[in-house]
Amino acid sequence: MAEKILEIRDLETHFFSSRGVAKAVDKVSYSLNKGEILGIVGESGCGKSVTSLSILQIVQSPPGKIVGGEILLDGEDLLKLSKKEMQSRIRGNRISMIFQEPMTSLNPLFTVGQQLMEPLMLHRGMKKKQAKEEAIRMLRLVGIPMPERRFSQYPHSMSGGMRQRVMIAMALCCNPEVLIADEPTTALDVTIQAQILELMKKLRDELGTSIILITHDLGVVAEMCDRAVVMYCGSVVEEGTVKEIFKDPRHPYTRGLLASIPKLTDEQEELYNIKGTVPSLTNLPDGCRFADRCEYCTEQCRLARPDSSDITETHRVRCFRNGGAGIA
Amino acid sequence: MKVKTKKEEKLQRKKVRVTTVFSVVLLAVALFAMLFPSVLATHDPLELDIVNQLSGPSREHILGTDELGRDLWSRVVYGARVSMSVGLGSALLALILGVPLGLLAAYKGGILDSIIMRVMDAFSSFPSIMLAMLLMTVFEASTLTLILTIAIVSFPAYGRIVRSSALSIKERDYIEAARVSGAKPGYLMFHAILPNCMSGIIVQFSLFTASAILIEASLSFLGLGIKPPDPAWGSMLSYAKQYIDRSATYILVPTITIFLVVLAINLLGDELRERLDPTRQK
Repeated sequence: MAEKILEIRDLETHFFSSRGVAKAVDKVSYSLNKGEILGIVGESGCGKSVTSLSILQIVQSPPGKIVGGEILLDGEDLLKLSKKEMQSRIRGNRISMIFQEPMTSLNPLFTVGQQLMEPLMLHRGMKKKQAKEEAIRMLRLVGIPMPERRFSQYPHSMSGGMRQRVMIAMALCCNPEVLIADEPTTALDVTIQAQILELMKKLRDELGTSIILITHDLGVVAEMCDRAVVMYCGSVVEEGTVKEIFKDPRHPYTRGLLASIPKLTDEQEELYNIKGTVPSLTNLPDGCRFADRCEYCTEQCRLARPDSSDITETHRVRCFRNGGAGIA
Repeated sequence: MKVKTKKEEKLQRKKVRVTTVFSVVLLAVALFAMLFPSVLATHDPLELDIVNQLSGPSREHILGTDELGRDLWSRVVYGARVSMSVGLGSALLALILGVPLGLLAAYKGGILDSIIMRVMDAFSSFPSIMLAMLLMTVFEASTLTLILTIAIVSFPAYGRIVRSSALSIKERDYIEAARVSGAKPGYLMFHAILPNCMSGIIVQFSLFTASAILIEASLSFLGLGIKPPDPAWGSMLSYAKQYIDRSATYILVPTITIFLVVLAINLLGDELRERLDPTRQK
């Protein structure tokens, strides 16, 4: 087994509101191996992003609060660190993150160069001149033409793809061990999307950064990732290598997701969809959270919540019926 | 697309507008008058010339005289000392007090936000005249006391403006991105959020300088500000009111002076705002 760089155990993040407690992340466990790309899939609001915000401890508080669990980075529990240590040692230094919206993720009032130099001077203690050279080198690394000129430009004169490259450069400039990419290509058009993903893959190979890729595009997962985690309603329902998830999906939700991908080859009549909607996070059912929408639901599913069970060494699923025999 | 560097952009923006030249020159003259009034004045501002009261412009008195025959040009020049320092000084002091408080309230939120904002409400609901009387009895009536008084009643306005724009800016993705890359709270507040609030602050500053000059006038009129023989633009205005039917120049001189200075500050504020915004280029 590969070495684990980041391990999340039973993480719980709740949001406290007047309408009750929303369990956005409910006992989530998964791990990230060194040098791998882990895909996290799931529909909107299933807790993918909140999990990653919890890792960096930047969940808006109040109303959000991490109430339990462990986040181990190389064996060190991040939840035990002080605010100050998180800020100076972890964020941007050992774990960094890129966001969905490249158009708004750069401060419009500073040049790209100024923004790139900031983390270099903060975390790596570089002098201005040195930081400038490093910043230009990073811009070149992420494939920005004429980096010396782009260095002194403002974000508004760049395209979305270009800005996302800058964001990646910013995230990677301190050589983090873990990069969290929260739907990095959702806001970009398909050709640019492919370029950015290619770039991330290339950087992983060159720099050895482990990447958590949050997406709802299964195509991207198949293309990019080594392993994948499927989340539903605040918890992990299935985890496995990409091959296992795509060739042998066990959880009915994963199957549903895979069945909903439009296929070019078939005579497509109507696109498959998973019936029903996600239950409210403030009022979750006692049993399996997917029970209401599941075609294979039994009495047992409505009464108790299934635990994760191992299928193979790498494949886990949270379902009563699929863990063992599976459904034909 | 042609790629422009910062240097080229600067070159391109070098075309200075007439209004900017006008406001810079005017403010320079006003500041000069504030610092070295004796150089510009032709007479002693307190020197009486009873024979020539309320006269129009002449060779002896280029802008005419007031009801006691004092030279209006010299009084306007010496008046800059009080009016300019009260106007700019109180606007600056209010800014220094209000901006960090507003920023802190927006950034921290919660209880601290409520406390700061309620204190500001209390200050702004206090009648400025009352506060002025209080301060003037405790301290001596002077330019400094005037600046202090005006700043205290008006800093909440800055606080509110900064707070409201900071509240929306702190939710932007680039602030989140900066936080994720390990920025300290102080850096986030003053380096990432504050520059994005500047346009509101500049507008408030230029508007407020004007009203500070007028507040000084009303305080002086009540005998709480500058004592009579000393010239100040606001007090000149209130005295001239009584002679409005006998001399046009008397009331016009302080009016036009205040008008020009306020206009210059506003124009300069506009220009500054435009220069600070990298997306606005011609």
